[in-house]
Amino acid sequence: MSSNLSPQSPMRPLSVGNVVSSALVLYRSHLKLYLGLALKALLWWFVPVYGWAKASMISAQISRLAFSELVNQPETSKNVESQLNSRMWSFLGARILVGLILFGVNIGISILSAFVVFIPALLITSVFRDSSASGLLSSLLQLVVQLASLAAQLWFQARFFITDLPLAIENNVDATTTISRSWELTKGSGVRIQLILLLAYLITMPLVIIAFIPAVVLLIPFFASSPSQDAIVSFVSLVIFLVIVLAVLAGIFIMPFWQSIKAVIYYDLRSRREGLGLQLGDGREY
Amino acid sequence: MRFFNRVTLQTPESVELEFTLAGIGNRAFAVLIDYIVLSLTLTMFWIVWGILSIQIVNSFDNVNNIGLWLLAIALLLNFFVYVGYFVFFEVIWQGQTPGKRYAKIRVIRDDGRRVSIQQATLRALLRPIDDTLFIGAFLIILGSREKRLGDIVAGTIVIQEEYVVAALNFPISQQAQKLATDLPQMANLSLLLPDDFAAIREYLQRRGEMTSKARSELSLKMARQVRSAIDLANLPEGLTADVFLEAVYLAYQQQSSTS
Repeated sequence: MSSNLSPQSPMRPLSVGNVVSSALVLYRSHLKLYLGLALKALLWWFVPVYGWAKASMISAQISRLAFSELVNQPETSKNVESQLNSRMWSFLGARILVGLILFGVNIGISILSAFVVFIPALLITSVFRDSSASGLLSSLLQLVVQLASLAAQLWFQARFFITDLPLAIENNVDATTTISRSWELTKGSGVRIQLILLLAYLITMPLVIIAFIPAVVLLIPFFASSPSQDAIVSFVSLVIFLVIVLAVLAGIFIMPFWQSIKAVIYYDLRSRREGLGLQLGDGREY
Repeated sequence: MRFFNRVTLQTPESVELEFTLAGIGNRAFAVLIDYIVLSLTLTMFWIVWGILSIQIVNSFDNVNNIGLWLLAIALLLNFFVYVGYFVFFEVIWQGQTPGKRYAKIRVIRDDGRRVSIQQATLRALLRPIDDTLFIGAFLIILGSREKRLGDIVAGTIVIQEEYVVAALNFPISQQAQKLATDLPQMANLSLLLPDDFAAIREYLQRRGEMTSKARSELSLKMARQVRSAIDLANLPEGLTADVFLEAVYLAYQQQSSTS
């Protein structure tokens, strides 16, 4: 199994950077297949409900294909699709559930942080008569609390990042158990996943920026020529349309990368938490 | 399928060395850390310089353009700190900066030797060009030797540190230690392959992080495989799979160190 995944030892867990690198290698070596699937998923998003389930399934399909490469048991896209088709609605269900959970968590964190800011702020203003000192202290406190609540929200997002993977790869998993299963797998790895996501954002940034370059290139000479009011409105709306089209295009390119990242994280967690691939010798039967 | 680019180098002494290249993930991680450290340092520098400048301008207001001169000097120093950070660390830490050290990667020359001040300076000077429009990132992703412009010009590559296997300080129970002394008489340990031993060690090292369910399943499976591999007929009563694996690990280690 995956004897050349980790250079030092076939069974060793991957470092943060190596997760991102291997996801990119996976994506690059299956570029056509994954891009085709991403395009299909995008088109399905335009069909309400049924299409959303289909699109969720197709994204998970990419992760499953990537995972099958990681464990050295490659599957065909058709084969995977026929297996996942019956679980299509569970993918949508899991997606909605995760959305609701994260929504609730974020509201909870906001309420909590509001209290944390509000009560000390009252104390500070009562202790310090000098308004400028208390103002400075309260805004400092507010900044710290806001950063902390942002970190907490991102941490929860990281813990729910791979929720569609157990459903796509394991058997006898449904929309709710896939969430609890991924919660269990990611236990103790929240910060590491956050780091992986940060690195992945950094690496996808060039693509996003390239998507916005045409808009900038068009806008600067246009405004330099001091156009009329009407011309500005029509031209700017044209450029906004262009930017949206380019952003969607960039999204098609980026989505398979994220799905590959999920596959590598899932693989890595399975090997860390469950010793996936850890076996005697070359796996010979006794 | 290959996940990491590897290179084989011939040192001037004709020794062949194989290295795993760092990969875009590790390099992005390293540069992220370095840039955070650098920007904090530079922010401090500009704050101190700003406060000093105000004082100097106030006390020497008869000198022409003194503010402009101070700004020019500050910009020059800013540039020296930026370049100097990478050169200084890559030279004194043998090809590592704080970020690279954390990401466990290292710069070396194309022939495997450590980088000197020349290579480190060339890499640092070309860094801003590599950062423009992410030219360096694209070159690293697309090239088989993962060289950004700075690496091409300086003749360097960036490799992963072959980190040492973690210290073998996992706990071994009393029961296992006792069993380990008897085991060589009870079974034929030489039938166990070095790879099998490595797998047992890997399990014992990493079991602490595993979920209890996966752990009990895995240890049972491995214990069964080991047991039939070493021709062990009957096990002592009340032995858990974990203890058995610990004992086999110990016994095998002792046997190979004495023979």
